[in-house]
Amino acid sequence: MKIGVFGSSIDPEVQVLQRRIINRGVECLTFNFSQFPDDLSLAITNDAILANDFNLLELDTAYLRSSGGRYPNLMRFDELGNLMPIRFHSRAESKRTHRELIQYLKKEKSDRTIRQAVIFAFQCRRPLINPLRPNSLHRLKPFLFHYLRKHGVPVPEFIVASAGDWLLRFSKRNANLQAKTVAKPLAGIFKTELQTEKEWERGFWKIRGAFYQTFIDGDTIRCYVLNDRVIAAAKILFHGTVDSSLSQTGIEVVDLPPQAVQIARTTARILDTRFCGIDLMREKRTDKYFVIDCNFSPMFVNFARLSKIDIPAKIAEYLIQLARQDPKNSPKGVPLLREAKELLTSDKEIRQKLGL
Amino acid sequence: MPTIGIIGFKTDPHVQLLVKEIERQRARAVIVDFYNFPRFNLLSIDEAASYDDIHIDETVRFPSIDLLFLRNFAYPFPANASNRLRFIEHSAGVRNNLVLQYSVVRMLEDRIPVINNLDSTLLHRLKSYQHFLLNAHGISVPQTLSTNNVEEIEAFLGKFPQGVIVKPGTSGAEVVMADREFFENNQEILRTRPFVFQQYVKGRSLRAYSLGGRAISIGEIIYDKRVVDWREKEIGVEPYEVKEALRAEIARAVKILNLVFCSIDIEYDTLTKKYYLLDFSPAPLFTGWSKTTKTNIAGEIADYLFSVLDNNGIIWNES
Repeated sequence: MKIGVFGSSIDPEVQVLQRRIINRGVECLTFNFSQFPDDLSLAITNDAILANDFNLLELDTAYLRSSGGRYPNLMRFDELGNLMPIRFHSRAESKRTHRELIQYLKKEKSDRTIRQAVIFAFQCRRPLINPLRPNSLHRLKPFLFHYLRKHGVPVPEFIVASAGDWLLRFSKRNANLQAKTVAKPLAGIFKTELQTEKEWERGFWKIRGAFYQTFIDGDTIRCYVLNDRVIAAAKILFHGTVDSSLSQTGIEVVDLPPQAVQIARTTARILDTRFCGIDLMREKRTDKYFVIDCNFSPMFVNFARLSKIDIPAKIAEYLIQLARQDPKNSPKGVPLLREAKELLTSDKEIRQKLGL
Repeated sequence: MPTIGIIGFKTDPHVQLLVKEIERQRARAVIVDFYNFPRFNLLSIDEAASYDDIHIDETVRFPSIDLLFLRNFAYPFPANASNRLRFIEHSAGVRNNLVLQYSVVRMLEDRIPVINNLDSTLLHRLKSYQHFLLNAHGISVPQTLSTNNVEEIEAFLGKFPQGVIVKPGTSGAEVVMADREFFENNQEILRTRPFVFQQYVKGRSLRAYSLGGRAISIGEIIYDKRVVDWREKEIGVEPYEVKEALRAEIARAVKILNLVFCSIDIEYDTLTKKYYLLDFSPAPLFTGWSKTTKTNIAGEIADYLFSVLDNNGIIWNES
C-alpha cells in the first residue's frame, strides 16, 4: 500500500501527516508541486501521470495539501526579489520590471495548467482528499455563502459589491440594527477587518470588489469534519482583532451542541468534502451558530498539539481505509456532463423545475 | 419576451452578431462585459436585502435573465506598480475580481441554464487533462505528453517515427515540429519550461462546430502544407463530407467535456484512415467561418438557446 501527500515537505501539516501514515506501517510519499518545473519534473500522457519518474497511479490514495500555485503573495515576497526591486529609480525601470513580472505571471499560468492537469487526472483514478475543483469553493466565497444559505445552513448576511453606495447602505443598515460590519478578503494577502466609515472612505472597493458581512458578536469556534463526523472542536481564544488568526493566544476544547454538529456535518456534506475545517460563530445574544468559513485544506498541527486531539492520526487512518478500496472499482474519469447533472439534480429547486 | 445574457466583450464581433440574431427573434439580449470591472462596472450581490438581488451597472438585474451564454471573462494582468508590495496588491486584486465574476456565474448556474458552464470553460485550459479524460473514455485523441522531463520526451519521440509536434502549455500558442531545430533552440529551457508534445498526424485538417452535441458545420481547412499549424497560412475552407461515425465521435466527446457549444479541430490520417480529435475551444472564432462556409453560426446558436428555453431549461436532450 502506498499513500501520497501532495504538498511541501517543510509544511508542518505535510510532515506530521506523513509521520502518522508511516507509523502505521504504510509507505508514504510526498510530492511538492510548487517545485515544478525547476526542481520537479511532471509528465502527463494519455494514460500515465509521472512525478520525477514515479507513476502517481501506483499510489492507492493521496491527501492534497497544496497544488503548488506560485502567484506572488506576501509569503513568496522574496521570490520576486530578482524580478522586482523594493523601489524603482526611474520610470523606465518601472516599465521594464512590469514587463518582466507579466512574463513571470504568464509562465506561472502555463506551468499551473500542467500541475492542475496532473491532479485532475489523478483524482479521476484514485480517491483524493480533497479533489481539486476548477472553481475552488474556498476561493469563490460569494458563491460559497450563497450556496450554504440556499441549502439552509445559517450564514451571516452579506453583500458583494463594487458600488460604494450599496456597501455603505449595507453598513448603515447594520449600524441601525446595532450590528457591526466586517470586510472579508476574497483573495491572497488581505485579512478580515472591521468596517468603519473611515475604512469605507479609503475605497478599496474601487479597485477590488468588496465582500461585506454582518459581524456576529460571540465566540469563534473551529471544528473539523472527517468522513461525515465532527472529530474535533474548540473555541479560538484571541483578543484585539476581528480576524482570530491575527491575535490567537490559545484554544479551549468544546463539545459542540447537536445544533452546531448538524450545521457542520451538513456543510461538509453539501460541499461534498471528505475533510474540512469549518469556522463557526456562536452568537452571544441568541446562542445561534453561523458558518463563517470552510477550508478544504485546513491547518491542523497546532490545533492538534493544543487540543490533544490527534487529527492527523484520524486523517491517516481514513486514508488507509480509502487505500484498501479495490482499485478496479476506481472510476476511469467522470464525464463532466454527468458530474454537472449530478450537481444539478442534487438541487431540490432545479429538480422541481425540471420535473425530475 | 425572454432575456438572454451574454458574458463577453461589447467590442467582440461574435458577441455583436449573436445579439443581432437574438434580437431578430424578438428576444432581449444583455451583454455583461466585465472588461472594465470594477472600475467602470458596478456589481452587487445583495443576499441580505433579497435572495435574488444580483445587479450589474444598475441596469441589469441577473434574476431577470432566463439563460446565460458564456463567451469570455476578462483576464486582466495587474497594472504597473510603484513598488513590490503594491504589485502584489494589484495581483491579489485581479484574482479578487475574477472570484467575483466566477461567483456570479456559479450562482446563476444554480438557477438558469448557462452555456457553457463555468467548470467546462475553465477546464478547457487543462488540455493535458482533457486528452487524459477523453482517452480514458475511448475517444480517438493523438498520443500526448506534457512535461519538463527530458528523458520522457526522448522516449516519446522514439515512439513516433512519423514525427512529433510541440506547443507551449497555453492556448493560442504556435505549433511547430519537435525537430532538431526546436531542440537546439530550447535545450536550455526544456527542464524549466514544460511543453506539450503530440503525435504528428499527417493528412487532412478539419474543423467542426458543435452545438448541443450536434455537428452543425464541418469543413476542411486548406492551407500551405509547408507549415505545421494551419493558423499560420490558411488559404480557405472547403466543404467536407462527414461520415456518421465521426459525427457520433464528436457528439460523445463534447458530452464528456460538457461543452454545449465549441469548435473542434480534427486531423484525418490519410494513411490509417483514422480521425483524431485534437482541440476543443469553448469560445471559438466563427465570424470568418460563417462567411466562408455560408453557415450562420450565430443564428444556429440563437435558435439553440431558444430551444433550450422551450425545453424547460434542459440543455442536453437525452439523459
